[in-house]
Amino acid sequence: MTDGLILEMKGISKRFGGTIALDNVDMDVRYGEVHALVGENGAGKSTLMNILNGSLQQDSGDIFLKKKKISIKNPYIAQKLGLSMVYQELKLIPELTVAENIYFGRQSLNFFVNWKDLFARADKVLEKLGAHIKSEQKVKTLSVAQRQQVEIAKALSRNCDLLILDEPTASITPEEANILFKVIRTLTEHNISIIYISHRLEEIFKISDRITILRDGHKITTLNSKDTNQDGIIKLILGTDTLFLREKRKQLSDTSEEVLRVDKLSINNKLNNISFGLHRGEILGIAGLMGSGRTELLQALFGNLGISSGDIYIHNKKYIPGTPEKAVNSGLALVPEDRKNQGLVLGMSVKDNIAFAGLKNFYKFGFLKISKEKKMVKNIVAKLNIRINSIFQNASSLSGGNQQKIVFGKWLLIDSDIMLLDEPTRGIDVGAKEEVFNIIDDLVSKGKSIIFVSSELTEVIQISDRILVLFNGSIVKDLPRGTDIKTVTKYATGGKLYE
Amino acid sequence: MNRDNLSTPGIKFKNNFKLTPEIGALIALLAIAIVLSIVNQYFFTVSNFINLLKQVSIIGIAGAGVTLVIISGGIDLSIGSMISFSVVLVAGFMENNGMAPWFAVILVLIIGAALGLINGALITVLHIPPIIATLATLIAYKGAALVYTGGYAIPLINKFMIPGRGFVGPIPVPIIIMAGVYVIGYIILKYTMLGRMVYGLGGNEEAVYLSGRSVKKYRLIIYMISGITASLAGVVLASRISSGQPMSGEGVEMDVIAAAVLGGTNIFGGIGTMGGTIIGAFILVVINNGLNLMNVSPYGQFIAKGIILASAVAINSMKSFRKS
Repeated sequence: MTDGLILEMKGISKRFGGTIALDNVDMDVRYGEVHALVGENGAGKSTLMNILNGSLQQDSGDIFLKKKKISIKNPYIAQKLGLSMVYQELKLIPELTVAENIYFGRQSLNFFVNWKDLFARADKVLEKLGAHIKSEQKVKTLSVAQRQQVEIAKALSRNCDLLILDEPTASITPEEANILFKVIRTLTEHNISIIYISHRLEEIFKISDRITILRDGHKITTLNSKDTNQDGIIKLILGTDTLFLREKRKQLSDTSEEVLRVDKLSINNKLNNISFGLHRGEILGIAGLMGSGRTELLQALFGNLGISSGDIYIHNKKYIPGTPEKAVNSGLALVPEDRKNQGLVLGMSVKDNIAFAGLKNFYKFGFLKISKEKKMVKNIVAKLNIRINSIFQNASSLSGGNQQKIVFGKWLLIDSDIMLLDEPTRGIDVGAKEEVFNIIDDLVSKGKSIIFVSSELTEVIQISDRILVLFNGSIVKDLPRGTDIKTVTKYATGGKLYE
Repeated sequence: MNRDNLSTPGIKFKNNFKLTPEIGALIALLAIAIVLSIVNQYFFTVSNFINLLKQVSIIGIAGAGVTLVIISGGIDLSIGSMISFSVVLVAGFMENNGMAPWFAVILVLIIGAALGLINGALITVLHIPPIIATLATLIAYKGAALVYTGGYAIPLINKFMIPGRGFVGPIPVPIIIMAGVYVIGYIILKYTMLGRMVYGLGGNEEAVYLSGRSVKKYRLIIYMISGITASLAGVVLASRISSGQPMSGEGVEMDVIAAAVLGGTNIFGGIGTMGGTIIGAFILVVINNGLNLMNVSPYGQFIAKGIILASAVAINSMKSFRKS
């Protein structure tokens, strides 16, 4: 039975407005296999899996489960059919016990909870997994890896035949990942099939039987894991071997003046011993997967996340991060990852948003010099080519690209010296991306220094003068400009293993 | 290029007119007034209007500070107790300590600022949620007023008439005080750093913080202002009732918060205006007045006010629901 197919998806297509998220994608899964699904961000992995778990409906195409055609209208039906998904963001209730979480909403009860029965049943499921967790424990006392096991147990308790794991190792340690792999093997021994989504290629080869590659909404191919290798997969994911580097702007970065020096910076469980220097006019790229610690690094430099140890120097003067206010006064600026929640006050005008960081420049005795403010804001709007009808327009009414330019504008207004950019191109269209790159080029040509973080490795490579690769909270490699994408991807997805 | 056309919420009509919550509230106020003028001959009289203006002043003055608090994403439940405490203090300072009225008033305003500062400190330093922090001080400040007087009223016979009962020409002094408070409030919201921070904190505190702004300082100032306006309302109230009643401000916070919300201030912060609150205060007072004239018992009036508040907010929510 092992070679028979439990699931077949045929010709699945899905569109969101004008963009085609999936175009005629086929995928099949065998009984008891681990089937890895890989591709860049935006390749269509999540859309495909959301269709399979009933969160989205395909526009066309058929799904067959155990040779029977099925229609999955919602996640509840998916669960009834034996399809479960464990999300990257775990969805457990911390204040309840493990057993209550596993059987949440499904406790067999005659008004009163039969605790003994509940715990016994939960223990049995956990035992099947080989998980060392007591079902009476509250979920809040568990580690992330243990919580993940509880999620898997929850799926199992619903008699799941096919389990989808979405980036299960993104937030756990390598040791915990090994335990997870053991759990996965136990499941496959019970003939349960796994669809395994991950960016970490090294572990994909460790655990998977077959690999399906998606790119730009198309299925590229499905391969047996033992018939291929990481280089082959990377090439298929990216669709190319070579990248065009952005043309070098005015050369400034080989001046040796160090504007920022980070020495042995650590944050408990998040960053270990990070050391690097940033030079005047340099774009320092940081390549790393989600959960590698890249956002934490920027937030810590900006004083929004406490550090455990380490020293930071700005222009050779010691800088102890405290609050963002202090960071701004020291010449730092942050374009945060989450534009809508951290970058902008959406209900306020373009003018008010751009002015926020620079309010000190135009007020006297508490009163705002509004005409000066307007003038400076209009200046920024023109400089960054922000397309608006009026500077009094609400920030919420703008496109993602224009909103991002407002966040940049905030810092341009006060002429920040060191810009920390966390995923500055996320969720904006290609044209706006190009404009953001132009803004960055312009900034460095004026002697500003940039730390550029992105999960799009191609972007990091195209724009950076130097690339630091972060993996699991450590810098695993310092690579020069023009390093090929395979090398960067290897380090970012597999850490030190390639040394 | 008019700010109000583009950045405030509401329904947009053709030819650039936009129905903001404040204008909606104003239309409601006028409608209620017209109905009352038709059904009751006493409503549309000069003496009744002066009466209305006097009644609105307490809610109005205290409402200015609370408007800042609510727009900034906070809440202040301790208003009524701060009013009571100020009422007994201003009376006590004059009667028991023989202070000059002007000195007693200034002292009470300073104490009001301190009471507000305590609220702010509980919230920003001890990280107590605003609704709990100010519930705690509602209880504590109420106790302070009762302890100070031993539960009795301090009579103010034939003195301290001006703030609550005085006139400048035909205009009652409390109205002039209230107008002054609103002019200052309007200027603060529109033209000062503090005003900008009030909207920013209510709109998205994290984004403001990550723009390098100090958040705590402004929260403290905002609650302090709420303390000052509450104690100013207490001064006016003490003069109007000629007595330092320790329970005189009881429940005023509900009217004040209702006034702000009726005037279109978003209870979750980020949206609101001074003008809206004063319109909201007038709606509450006019309804009270109308029900009085129609001989509805004060007990029944509470029911009416509750229904009006719920309906007004429901209308606002339906509008924003439709938008999204």
